[in-house]
Amino acid sequence: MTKDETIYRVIKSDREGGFRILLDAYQKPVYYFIRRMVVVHEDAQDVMQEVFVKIFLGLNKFRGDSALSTWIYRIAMNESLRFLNKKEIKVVSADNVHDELIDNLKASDYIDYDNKMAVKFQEVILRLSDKQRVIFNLRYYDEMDYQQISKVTDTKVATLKVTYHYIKEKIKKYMVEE
Amino acid sequence: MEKDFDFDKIGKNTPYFTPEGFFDDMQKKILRTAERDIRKRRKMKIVFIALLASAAVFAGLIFFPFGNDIAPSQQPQLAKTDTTLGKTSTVRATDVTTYPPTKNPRMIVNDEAHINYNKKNSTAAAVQSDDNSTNEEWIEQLSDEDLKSLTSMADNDEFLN
Repeated sequence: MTKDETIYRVIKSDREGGFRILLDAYQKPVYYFIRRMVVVHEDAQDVMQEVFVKIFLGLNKFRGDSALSTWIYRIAMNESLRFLNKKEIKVVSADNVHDELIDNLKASDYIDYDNKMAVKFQEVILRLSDKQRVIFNLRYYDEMDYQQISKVTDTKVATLKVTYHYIKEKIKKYMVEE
Repeated sequence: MEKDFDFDKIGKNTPYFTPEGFFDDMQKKILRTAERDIRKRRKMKIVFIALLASAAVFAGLIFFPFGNDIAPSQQPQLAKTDTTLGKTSTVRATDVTTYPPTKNPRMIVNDEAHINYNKKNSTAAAVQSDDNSTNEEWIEQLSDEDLKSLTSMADNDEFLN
């Protein structure tokens, strides 16, 4: 039995107990997924709380038709994008939001500036569009296969494959240039 | 930077980290918030149901007021009887009294009043017919002079003129 199946089974008999197991299993990966999207720790904290409250309230509706992880990441993606869209409205344009995210990466709490290579790598990723970042993060960091990413993002597998390779080339180019 | 970037070199490393004990605290916070939200939703549900019920009662008061004399269970029966008798579907007040009395107390009172009214009318007619015959006899016995004086008195009667 997979991790998701076990959690789903517990949830059906004991919602709160099942949710605790779900939190133990998904809290960290979901937090880091959100953090890579919104950069600032406090923002990631707020978005993560929103995500897990939504998951808890939606557990009754979850029928197990799709994988639990897909459902959880979909909510996390939607909430992260919603947060960024809100920011976009405040700071006028998407380009400005990306600039702001890069600025936050350069001067924020809970970022290891000693790891220059990792900071540089994140800066390059932040230059991608929001959707490209979602695809790259899910594939590269969360090691999802294209089928799973397709379910999370509602994008065709073929499109995802092409996009991922395009993103990788773009990152390589940026990393070599600077 | 190097000529060709190698993803394996950097691996899954990120510069992001969290304060100590963050995930434990967060778990408690999430559970607290989720429970609070569930309570809030339950309260909203109760308020919604209460509002719905009061709206239904209000609608009931508007469409079925207390002043309806005919019991709702009796109404379809009355309409049915009308059609079997070949009458129009309009129920008249006189039709209602021809049906067997219902248990509605107001209808029983109406029926009794109707019977009393009929009784009164028939008695009044009988009394009136008796009065007419005695008057006629009395007038026959009167002399012409008495009649003349009576008619002169009638000329001054403000109720007759």
